Amino acid sequence: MYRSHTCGALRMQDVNQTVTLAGWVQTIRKFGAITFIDLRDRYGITQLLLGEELNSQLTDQPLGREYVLQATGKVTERSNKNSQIETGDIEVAVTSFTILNKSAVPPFTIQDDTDGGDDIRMKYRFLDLRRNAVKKNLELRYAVNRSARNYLHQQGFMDIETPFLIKSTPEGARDFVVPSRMNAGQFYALPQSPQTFKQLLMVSGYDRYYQIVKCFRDEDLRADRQPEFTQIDCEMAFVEQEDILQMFEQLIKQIFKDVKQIDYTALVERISWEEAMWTYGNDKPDIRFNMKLANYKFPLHTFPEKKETLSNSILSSGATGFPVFDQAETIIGFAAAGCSEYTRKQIDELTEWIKRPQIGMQGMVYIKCNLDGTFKSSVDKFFGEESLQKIAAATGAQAGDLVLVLAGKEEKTRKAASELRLEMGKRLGLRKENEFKLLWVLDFPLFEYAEEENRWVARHHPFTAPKPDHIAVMIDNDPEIKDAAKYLEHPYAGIKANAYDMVLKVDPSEFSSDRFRKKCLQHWV
Amino acid sequence: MTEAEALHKFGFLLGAFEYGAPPHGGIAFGFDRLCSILGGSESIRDFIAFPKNNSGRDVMLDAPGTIDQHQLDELHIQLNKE
Repeated sequence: MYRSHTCGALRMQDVNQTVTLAGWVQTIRKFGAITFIDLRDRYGITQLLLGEELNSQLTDQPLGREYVLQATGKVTERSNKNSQIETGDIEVAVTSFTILNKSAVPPFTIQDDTDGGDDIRMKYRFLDLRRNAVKKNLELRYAVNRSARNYLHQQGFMDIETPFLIKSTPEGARDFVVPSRMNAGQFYALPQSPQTFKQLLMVSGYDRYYQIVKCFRDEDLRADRQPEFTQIDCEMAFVEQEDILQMFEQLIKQIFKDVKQIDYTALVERISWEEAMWTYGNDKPDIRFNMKLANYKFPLHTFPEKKETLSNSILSSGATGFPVFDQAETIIGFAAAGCSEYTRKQIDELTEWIKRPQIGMQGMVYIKCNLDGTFKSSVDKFFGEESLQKIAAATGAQAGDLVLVLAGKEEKTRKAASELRLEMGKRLGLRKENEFKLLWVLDFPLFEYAEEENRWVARHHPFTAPKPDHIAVMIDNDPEIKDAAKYLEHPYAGIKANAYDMVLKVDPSEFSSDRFRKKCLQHWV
Repeated sequence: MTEAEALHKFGFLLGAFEYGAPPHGGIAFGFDRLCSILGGSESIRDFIAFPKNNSGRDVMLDAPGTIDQHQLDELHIQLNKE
């Protein structure tokens, strides 16, 4: 037996017990004739005290960081307690020790605040995994995994493995391919998801299937993407969309409860894709803060149901006298609360932000809704006090707010407005790390525009069901596009699917890299 | 996708649907992302035991890497040397 206890187990009640521990040497500290060693394993750290009588062995067999050590001794109460660690009240007065294995000098310190940079820690990942911070993450991952499995098992889902060596179907992202030795000139592909297999399993009658499964996509890597990643993949038969939404929002709520001890009892809000784009400019919006968009002007074909808004808008006429607005396809604004006192410098900096290549806008209009009820804007030359008041009012702005307005082509402007909204939310501290909010986004478009082919292609995969009343539009029209510049006016642009996404946002940072997306689909059969 | 393309790529599935497919639907959660959000981190890499770096490389194993000529021959692969 290598050990009687782990390095995280001993407490005051174990004092006077003789124990044997095994682990890695984290630190060695000498105090005169006495040596203190922090011994670490997966469960914690225990302080060892090596007295004078072991000094000759220590001289013969010197210890070093990350040596694998076995030590036997008596648990004693510490005179100098450490409340930072769970074993901090005790130490082990060692009577004998054995070096089980030596270690080369590690290239970085195995501590919470390690001195190792990203690259070196990636290269020595097996050492990085010894660090508490990384271990905690893997423990959390396992807790999520266990919670999901428990819930799905209780609900009667069956874990069925599907193959990794499958057929290449050049659709969506690129496949990783695997050459076949037995079949000259032929290749397998690694699955981008088990999509087809899970549907086949439905045909086979396994009406509740799940798998926590690796997926592979040979995408051009953006920040924080992995060519192999893991999905909790689920499929159900004899269900309507509503059944699926309920089953899986309950899954996420259960995970919250098991892993974070959060009781998420609130109903999960729902929003249509179109409404999300209209209100937030984003199909995975952060709804933890308000800051809704005001749509002053937009191409009617993109939001046909918002006709009323367009006719009521002060900026939609195309005859405001301000060329930027008059020539724009779309004008969107929103109010940043309490920012009316922004300095010239702060506004210039925001303008530069919006002009960055990732956003690519030409500029930005601002209206300061001063506390004294007056308005000051960058377009005072074109708009009087009354017009400014109307423009600001459309965003719901109060005195003390700063209204930001963007104008340009529909898609670019909407995206930029969304990014600016998120950025302002971040700057104003509205995107709180520990606040979780779930949202269902429903009725995704069935098709997306493939620029290279100049036609409409399935947005998710070709077995997604259109909304029943959109089927006719699909049958009556050709996905081929005649005028590329006007593709948004093509009837296919408006076809919506029984496709939904769950969004869970927390403290996102950089541009569009950090969204949590769960694709869910009702298949059309 | 034309009908011929669809048949070529998904023929087996379309075929299977001819044999009594029930109405069905599903969902797939990004497990790595879910973990990173619950863990309060911005990087999914932190929640994968052995992740790839931003260029898709495993710098610990130094993968991807080249393979022997012998392996290439067995796999009937000729490299395009440029």
